[in-house]
Parts: sequence; structure tokens; C-alpha cells
Amino acid sequence: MHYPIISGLLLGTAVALALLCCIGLLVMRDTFQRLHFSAPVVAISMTCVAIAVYIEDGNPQSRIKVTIIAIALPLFNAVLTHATARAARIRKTGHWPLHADETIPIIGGGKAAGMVQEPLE
Amino acid sequence: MTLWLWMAFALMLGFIPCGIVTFRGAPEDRLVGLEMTGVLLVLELVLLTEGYHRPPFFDLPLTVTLLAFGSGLVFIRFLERWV
Repeated sequence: MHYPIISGLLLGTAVALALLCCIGLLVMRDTFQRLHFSAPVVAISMTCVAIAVYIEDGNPQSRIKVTIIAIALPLFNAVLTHATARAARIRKTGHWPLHADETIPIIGGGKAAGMVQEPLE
Repeated sequence: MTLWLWMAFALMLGFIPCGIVTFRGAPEDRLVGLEMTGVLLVLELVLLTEGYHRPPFFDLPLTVTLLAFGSGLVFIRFLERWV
């Protein structure tokens, strides 16, 4: 079962997106900004590769294992990303919870639910 | 060289920026680079396994997926407390 054009498009998308995210990882200045760049790779690139494997390879063993990888990778990456952000914040500020003297800049100046613009009294 | 192997070769270029981030900067930045390298490694192994038509080798990316998660958590724990 060979559909080179479809597989080529899927793999090209996956690899191009992954390379772009790697460049983004390099270019960003802040740890928290860098953390965002693994998400597209695990979500979109891995899914494209898994679909391509389904198209190209009829072997049930390949399909089952690539499905497990495509499901597990985004889940694990979400946990790792959050835990890394938490560790980075604790290293930078010395604490995880929000302190009274900290304000969260809100884009557009609005007040989002549960987030505050002014310092807490 | 099949399509899969060409794509695997192209994806290898992504290890260069990941390596630069991993070997430079603050520890937390290095950890982010290491985590991205783990993700790329999984993709790379899937492409190579399919490119060489070796279904049993799919265990490799599956194992890396699990181990990268565990090792990442260990690094995070150390980063948060002791480094």
C-alpha cells in the first residue's frame, strides 16, 4: 500500500514544522518562551508521522506501537513542560505561589478571571 | 534512499539548534533544550524504523518516549531543589 505523494506531504509537514520549532527554540531569549516550542512537534509532527506510517505500513505491530507513541508523547510532554516551568520559576523567584508584590501583566490591560493587574493589598 | 530516510536526514539538522541550547546558558534553558532533543529523537527513530522497514524496531522510539519522560522529571527535581 504505497501513496508516496500523501506520505511525502505528511512527512514534509512534520519535518518542516519540527525544524522551525528547533529554530524557534534557539532564537527565543526566555526559558518560558522556549518551553512552548515542543508542543507543535509532539502534537502535529508526531500525528503526521503516525498517519504516514499507517498509510505506508500495513504491519499491525508498527501501527500499534506508533499509535502508542503518538498518544503518549503529547501527554508526557505536557507534564514535563509544566514541571519545567515550575522548576524554572522556583529557581528564579525562590517560590512557586504568587506573592503580594507580584503583578501579572495582562495583554490589552483587561482583567482576566482569577488574574489581577494591581498588586494584592 | 527512500523518502523516509531523506526525511530522517533532514530532521537530523534539528539536533544542531537543540544542541546549542542544551550546551549553553542557564541550567533551566539547557533542560528545555534537552527535552526538545528527546522529542526529536523519538521522531527520528520512528522515521528510521519505517525507512529501514524493521517493525520490531518500533520498540526503540517507544522506549525513548518513556525514558525521556522519566529522566526529564529527575532533572526537574534536581533543578528545583539542589542545582
